Amino acid sequence: MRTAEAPTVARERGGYGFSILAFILVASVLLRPVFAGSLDNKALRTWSTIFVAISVQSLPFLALGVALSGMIAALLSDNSLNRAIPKNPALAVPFAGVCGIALPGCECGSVPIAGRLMGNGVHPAVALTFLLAAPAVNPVVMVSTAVAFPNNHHVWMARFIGSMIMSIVMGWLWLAFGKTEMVERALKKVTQTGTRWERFRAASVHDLLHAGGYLIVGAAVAAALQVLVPRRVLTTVAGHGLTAVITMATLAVLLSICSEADAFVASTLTQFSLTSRLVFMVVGPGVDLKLIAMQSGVFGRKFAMWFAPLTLVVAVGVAVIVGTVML
Amino acid sequence: MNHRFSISDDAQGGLLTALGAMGVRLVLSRQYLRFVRPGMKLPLLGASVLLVVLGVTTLIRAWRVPRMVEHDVHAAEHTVETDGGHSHAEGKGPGVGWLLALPLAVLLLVEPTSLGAYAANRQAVKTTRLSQSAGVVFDPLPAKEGGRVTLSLTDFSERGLYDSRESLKGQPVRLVGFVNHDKAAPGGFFLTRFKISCCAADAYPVQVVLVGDAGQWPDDTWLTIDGVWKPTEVQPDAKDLLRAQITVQKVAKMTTTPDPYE
Repeated sequence: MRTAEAPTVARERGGYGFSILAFILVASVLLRPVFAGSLDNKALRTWSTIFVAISVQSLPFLALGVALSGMIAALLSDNSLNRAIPKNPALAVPFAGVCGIALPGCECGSVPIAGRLMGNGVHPAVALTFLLAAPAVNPVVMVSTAVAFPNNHHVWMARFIGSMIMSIVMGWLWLAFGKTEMVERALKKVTQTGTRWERFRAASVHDLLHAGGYLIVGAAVAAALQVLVPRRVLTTVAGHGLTAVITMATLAVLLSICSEADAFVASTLTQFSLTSRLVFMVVGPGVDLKLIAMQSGVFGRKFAMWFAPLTLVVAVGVAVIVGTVML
Repeated sequence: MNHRFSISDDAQGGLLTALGAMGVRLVLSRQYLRFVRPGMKLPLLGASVLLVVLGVTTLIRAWRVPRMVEHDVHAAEHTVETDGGHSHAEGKGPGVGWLLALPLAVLLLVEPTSLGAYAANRQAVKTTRLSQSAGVVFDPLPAKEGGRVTLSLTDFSERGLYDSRESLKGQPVRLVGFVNHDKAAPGGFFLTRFKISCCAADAYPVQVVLVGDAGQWPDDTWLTIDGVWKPTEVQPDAKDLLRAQITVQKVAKMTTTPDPYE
């Protein structure tokens, strides 16, 4: 960006970036007949379908997320959000959880938004609670859960309560133990001036490349695991009690299914106890492979290594308790 | 992020424009149905258009801004960015953004097909949500065309296994699916179709047992099967996957592939 480095700008500008991109595109088109014929490898073909499917499915939600993030950057001045949030962070955390109801997306969109909120001076604990709550408790997810479990209305209520408690507990845990330097990457990200459109554009493009790039990592890995580890293997160890809970938590992390679809998957896994399927639905929107990749990109790897396992433990614990009481 | 791998402004613009164009193409060519549900059409189109707009404006800016540097127009756009603590020069974005070229390259290079027999054999789960529908009252059958009712494999399976009023009894039906060889299939293969809730990553196969001679076809051949429902004996505590059965009367290979998923 144009600062003290201004003199280098003209030299660095252009570079090879555009040429590389053009080369990739031209090479892809030219080599297509070669690859299209030779790709009889069914595993690779299945991988490519699932990989592209996760990418295509996530794109609208990611776009919604970066557009909102861009709007925050363009329209809200630093700290102006804080005036709308309770001063006491311990109260602001549950407030953020409730605000999560208002974002009708899935988890890919909420990562860049949470990053932008932190960049705008919102307390990390508040942004993280929003990050966890938004994809799990919004009306779209609740409706799809109710549709997936038509005969048992306790399921979507248990999911709502479980996810809400999990998000709030994580926010409070951050207040107690979190260190600001762990999310430094999100805090220092971009400070901009310029026209509103330019601020919107710069923030959206940055977040799109950043969160999107890591999303691709997660999608590629999740697709590979789906192909390498047949679901059959994972689901034959079904059962009740602890085994079922651990299996379903593992499935949630590995499959990386969008929070708006995971209820339908959970409803098909009838050999598992309802509580373990609740674990699946509470863990999924908070921790999965593509989220871990995105979080390490947006907040930093150290953060993700701390945040993801802790979220997993808290989510499993909360879901088991809520499931035992309600289901 | 290593500075060397950062992504220049013009490459960002080009990449986003290309991605958006690919999204529009997927929708217009209906190929998006290989990956997601029909309901994603408008969100996907909207997101793709946003990408094109962001991409094109980024390109325009990348080509315009260096001239502004030469003229030393400092005031207009002054941006400071750090990424992982490293300061970046103007026109550089996070290098991880390059990975967005991967789905583009995969789509251009291998043109992924819809999920088929290979995935069906690996992703089959032991029980399906069908068991949840036990005791459910089913809607009346759809209208007949040419003396037959065309049903999705899901609808056929649910009615076939769980309809206490046996709405399928004696009813000529038409099913559409692909050939899916499996050791458990009496005639060598099942008629299969994937059901997806959101995208192909959550797909699960619905398989129907073909009773009688359905011929020999390679995996992933799309067939139209005319036949009559045959009841499945349901063990109340069956642990194995339950599948509905059809007595085959007529088999036809489909010349065009239908929209792949249910």
